[in-house]
Amino acid sequence: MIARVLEKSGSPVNTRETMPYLFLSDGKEVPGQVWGFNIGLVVLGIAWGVWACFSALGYDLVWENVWHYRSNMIQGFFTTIAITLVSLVLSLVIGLFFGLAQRSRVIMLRILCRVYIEVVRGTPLLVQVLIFFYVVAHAAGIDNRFFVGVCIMSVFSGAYMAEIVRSGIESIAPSQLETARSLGFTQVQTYRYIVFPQVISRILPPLTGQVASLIKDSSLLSIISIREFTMAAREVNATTFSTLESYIPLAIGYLLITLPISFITSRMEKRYKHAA
Amino acid sequence: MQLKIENLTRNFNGQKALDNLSISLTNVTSLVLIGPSGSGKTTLLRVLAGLETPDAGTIRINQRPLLFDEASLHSHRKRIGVVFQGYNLFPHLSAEENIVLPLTKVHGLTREEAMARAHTLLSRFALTGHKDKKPAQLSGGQQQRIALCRTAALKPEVMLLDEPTSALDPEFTTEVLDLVHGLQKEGIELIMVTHEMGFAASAADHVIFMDQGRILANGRPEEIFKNNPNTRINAFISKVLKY
Ligand SMILES: Nc1ncnc2c1ncn2[C@@H]1O[C@H](COP(=O)(O)OP(=O)(O)O)[C@@H](O)[C@H]1O
Ligand SMILES: [Mg+2]
Repeated sequence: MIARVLEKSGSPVNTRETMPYLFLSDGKEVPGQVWGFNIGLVVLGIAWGVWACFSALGYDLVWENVWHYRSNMIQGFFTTIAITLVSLVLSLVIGLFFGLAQRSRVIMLRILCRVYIEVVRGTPLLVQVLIFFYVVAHAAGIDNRFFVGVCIMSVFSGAYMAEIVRSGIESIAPSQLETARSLGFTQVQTYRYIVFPQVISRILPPLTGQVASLIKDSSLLSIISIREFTMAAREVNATTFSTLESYIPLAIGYLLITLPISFITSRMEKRYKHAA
Repeated sequence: MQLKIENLTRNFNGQKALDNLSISLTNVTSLVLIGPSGSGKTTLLRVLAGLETPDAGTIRINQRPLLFDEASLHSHRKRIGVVFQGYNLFPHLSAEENIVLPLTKVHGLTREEAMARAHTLLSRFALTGHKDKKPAQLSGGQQQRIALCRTAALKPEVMLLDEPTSALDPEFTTEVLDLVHGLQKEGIELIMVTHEMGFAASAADHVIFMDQGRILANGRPEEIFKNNPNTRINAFISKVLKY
């Protein structure tokens, strides 16, 4: 605005020179100190917002009580990581199977896939957790809660992974499959040498994104008293009555895992955008 | 090659892409298929390639009957080479790897043997400088030439080409046709669909003119191209050659 007014008044003005540190990126490379300056402003703004909220609340943070129970929190943190890791492996297997099976020649299998994926993606995780815990796990006689949690998260996340795998495979042009067939590749060889190498690089970014969701979503397991990270925070809160002091470390703990993952995701997206 | 086709028929939704087509040829090395769009040329080539199953009819290539169970088709595809009009290369592999992969995985060559074959062909056709490039880094003409090399490296009994130049910018037509010509000189036998009448006239030793799923005429190129008594063929040829 200012620049435009100045421009009209006669002398041509370079926005970049008049406002070197302020708000507008003009599509060119943004220099490091400009980034730093703008990040600083945003952080200050957020800090002010947080401070304003707390002073309106008139609440003094007391960390001693919660600190006393830190080992519970740490244990919960690692339980969440363990549940996530095991579920990740299982849901990748499930996702790969159901992603591929949608192209199977067995029609019943294709229907089964669609039903599984639509039901899991179309209902709240909360409902799935409760039904799985009170109906399926009970009927199957599973009473190891960690195992139940892993099963629920794997089935849930597997449906999303299946969709990622399916769309990845569908992104391979049919003409490539035809070319492979004409060259004498068998079906298995076609997938192994032609389809998968291309699909993996394309679906790695959305898959890592899915891992971040898996970590956050596993917090719902606390409703069936699995002592993961969120459950640990709830217990600490129940014993100490220090709500904020219990939940602020919880938020920070989740960020500690998800931030690196989203950093890796965006790195991969850039890399494979150029590779493709 | 010898080619014997009897009563070949293929319907798509009640429409006859191949209509009771028969022909018997011996001692042909370069067979060219011409004819208007939709006349069934691609369908015929795909049946010959073992990629499409006809509704009726029999085919013999060099005395060997073409059987349509999956096992026979698979071994048939390994003997026959195909290059389509579009882009045939696998985008995640370099030019060299595109040639080497089918040799090692489908034909059981060692990597050294496959490399040797690839390098011979690439240097024969002045493509060595491009061997490490991905398809996206190559021009359409270069891609199609690599695709032709990949098929030639398989030493196919017959090579089937479906309009190998028609998806390319016109400037690349010559280099691709030159390579096809070079392959002919190396003794590769081929069946080719093309609209390049000049190439058809000079490179073919037999020409088939197809129309509505049938063979309207066939013979030596000069019989088909010069003063053909059939008005439909004449009309088609003069239309293609008009500009
Ligand atoms: N896969 C297919 N599905 C439906 N119709 C097809 C298919 N392939 C070919 N056809 C039809 O068969 C006829 C012959 O096609 P094609 O063999 O491609 O002719 P050409 O290659 O001579 O142009 C056309 O009418 C086309 O629409
Ligand atoms: Mg065609």
